[in-house]
Amino acid sequence: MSESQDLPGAIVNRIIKASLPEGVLCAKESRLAIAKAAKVWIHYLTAASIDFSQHSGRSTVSPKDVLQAIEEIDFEIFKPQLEEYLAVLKSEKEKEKERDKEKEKEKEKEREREKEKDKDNNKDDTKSKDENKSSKKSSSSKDEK
Amino acid sequence: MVKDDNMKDIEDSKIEDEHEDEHEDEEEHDEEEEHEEEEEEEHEDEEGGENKNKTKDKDNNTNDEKKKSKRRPRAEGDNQLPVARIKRIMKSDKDVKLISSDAVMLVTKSTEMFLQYLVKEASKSCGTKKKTLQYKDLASTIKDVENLDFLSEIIPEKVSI
Repeated sequence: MSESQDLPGAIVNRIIKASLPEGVLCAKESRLAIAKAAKVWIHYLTAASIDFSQHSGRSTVSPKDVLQAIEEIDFEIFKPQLEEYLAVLKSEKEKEKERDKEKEKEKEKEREREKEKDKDNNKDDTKSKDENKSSKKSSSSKDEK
Repeated sequence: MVKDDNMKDIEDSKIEDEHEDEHEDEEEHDEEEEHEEEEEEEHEDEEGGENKNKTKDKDNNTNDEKKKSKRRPRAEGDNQLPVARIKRIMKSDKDVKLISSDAVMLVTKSTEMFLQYLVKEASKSCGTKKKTLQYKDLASTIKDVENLDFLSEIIPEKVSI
């Protein structure tokens, strides 16, 4: 179980590498410690967020709770960036909804078009049948002649 | 008759919407699972790649750049860490009942920021002369920086007897 609850080492290493000044390496010991610290951070932040959601009588941990928890655990320096990120997430969701609506509208339009086409085809069929009949008649009349 | 048909259509679409809402959570879960599987595969790949590249540092750098460029387009909300894994870690808390998906995304993002913050603080304390971030640098940073105090028991300073 513990393995599935660890953060992926490769990704953590990449973030560490990107955060260190150029030419500075990270000892294996410190890398393990940092990965562990990140895991503890998640537990810590989650516990703080749950406290806030329980205080306001909700069973769901909301983004607002997380932001409050960030402040509570003395990491208000993260808050502006996280609020920005949340705003981006929300706007993306709205865009997706709009896209879905547009798709539905297009589908409805297509359906209508298809219906119209079907009607047209039916008309054409009857017309062509008539034409056939008339041509047959004409041909038969020619034969008679 | 025409009106009736329209009404039926509307009702049907409403029912469909409700249906979708019910299944949305499950679908999300499935997507995340898939996502995680992909991440794990990559994880293995990268580990293999790293072992190979320990001898060739230059190759390692170029490979990293390639992987980043590949990862970018499908990364949801530009997160590097796997969201499903973070969610699982969060859910291992006994008090947790439900977590909104945006909250998970926020925790994921904040974890990334925390990693950057921790590493930057630690690299300050290891000074300009040293070229490696040692455990003792990390431990002393955690001891000195006030808001990292919650890690003092997880990453204690080594004591020589």
